[in-house]
This record gives sequence, C-alpha cells and structure tokens, in this order.
Amino acid sequence: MYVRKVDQQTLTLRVSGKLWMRSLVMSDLETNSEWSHLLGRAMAGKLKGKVLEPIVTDMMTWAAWKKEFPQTTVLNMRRTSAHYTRDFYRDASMFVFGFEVGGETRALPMSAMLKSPVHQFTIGDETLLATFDKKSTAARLFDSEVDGNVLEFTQLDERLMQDKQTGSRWRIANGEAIGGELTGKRLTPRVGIMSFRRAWQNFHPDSEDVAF
Amino acid sequence: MKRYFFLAALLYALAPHLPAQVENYQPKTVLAKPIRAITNPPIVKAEDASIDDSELIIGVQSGGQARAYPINQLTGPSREIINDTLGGTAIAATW
Repeated sequence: MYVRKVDQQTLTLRVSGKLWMRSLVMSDLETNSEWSHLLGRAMAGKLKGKVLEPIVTDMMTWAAWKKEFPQTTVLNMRRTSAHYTRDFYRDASMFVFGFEVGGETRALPMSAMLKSPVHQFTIGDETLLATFDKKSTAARLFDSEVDGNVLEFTQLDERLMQDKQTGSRWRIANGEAIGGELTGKRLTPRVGIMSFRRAWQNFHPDSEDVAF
Repeated sequence: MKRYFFLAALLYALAPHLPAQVENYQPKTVLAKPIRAITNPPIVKAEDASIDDSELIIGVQSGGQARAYPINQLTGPSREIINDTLGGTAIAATW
C-alpha cells in the first residue's frame, strides 16, 4: 500500500503487463514509468529512482477491523477469490511478515508468530515488538519505546500482554494500553508487509529471518 | 577538484543501500498492453457491505478515516492495484 504521489505529482497506477522476478511491475498513466510493486521503486522511465512512500496497513479479519473502526468504509467489488483466508491457515509457513529497519530487511516467519504471538527483538539500536492476534489474523510491528523508555513485553493471555517496567496491560491486537499506569497510550506502528515467503526472498535476498 | 571528490564520496556514502538486483532490471512482458487502471472504486459503509466476518482485509487509516480492502477482492491481475483517495491522500491499494 503506497501513497501514489511523487514530487507533488499524483500518479495513476496500473498493471503494466510486465513481470520482474516473478512479481508485478506497475506503470503510471502520467509518465509510463515502470515501478516494482514490492520495492515501490521506479525501475525505468522518467521517474526512475523515485520511491513511493509505503503506508502502515493491517491485515486482519473484517469482524476485528469493524470492531476497531466502526466508521470504516470498505471496497465493494465482486470477489475474485474466496480462498485466501483458508490458504493462510492451511499453510502459514508460506508467509512472512517483512519489514525494513535501519536499511536492513528482516522477515518474521508466520509459522513462528503463530506459536509465539508476542515477540520482541533488537536490530542495531532499535528494539521492536511484533505481535500476532490469532483471532483477527492481524500481524503488527511496533516500536517498543514509549515516552523515551524501552518497555519489555510478555504475553499474558490470548488477548493481552504486559510490560515489565510499569505492569500495564496492552492489547496484542492493536498495541493499546487498557490497564495500569500507561492506560490510553498506544505503541507506534511500523510498516510491515505480509508477503509470500518466496516473493519476499526474491526481492530481498539479503533479508534474514528474525530469530525466535 | 579535491572538493568535488569529497562531495562525490559524501553523496555515495549517504546514498541508501540498494539491493544488488535493483541494478539488474530485466522485466518480462507477459501481456501485450497494460491493464486499464482502476480509479474511483466503489466504496460503501460497513453496514452496506456483504463481507463475511471471517474474511481477511487489508486495513488502512489516513486523515482520520479508516478503509478496508477485502483480500478476496484484490486477487487476480485485473485487481492488483486500486487507485483510491482516503482522508485527502491519494493511495494505491495494492497487495
């Protein structure tokens, strides 16, 4: 998911009809530049070298999203598939939750996230927190820092986690503190992409799996 | 001259690290022409949608608004990119 605007110019993106490394190449109507879907980078044309800004997204069930955002609107087109949810649960090892930190790419294997839904790890000087909510299928990545302090999280139950420093209780699904001293605080989300493992590896051959 | 060398070295050092394959862009053409862009997609309120509670969606928030894109509507080559606007920001819903 990207902001489709580069240097004040709004772009209309479409499927170019080309594939690169078995993955979609987009082209924009305005300049016909060619964009790698996974990298968000113009690979050819007038805008070559420009990069689209990625947006934080959440993948989860419709029920969970509606509950969190009752005012939500939704795309309403004819379904092109009905199998995606089933496929995800049939073989979660096909998926990774990929992200970039300090210029390096990393992947969280979804099979490990299913077993260990609250996972904290450090890359360089950043301590990140990955969560997976089984009920809504939402994987999320957060900064572990709140008001300048790095918090250490452990899972309490299916729904909640707790930080060691203040004992506050946080919702796993959306990083919101709902009990204790930090009630009302929210962890800062980071961009992560749920991706087929094969596609992620093609585009980020240097990506390493986060250790569990 | 020395100053320019320094500048070039500085720019090189500051350039974001790119994966090696970025230098090796060799796309394959699989369709004779691009697929028509999807613009102004049909958007409805939650209560007017017929989506199963268990269906997976990609959710986005922008400018105080929330929107969901059911993955089951985003599969297949004709649906891979939706040009949309949310909370005043032009976005490409793509997955």
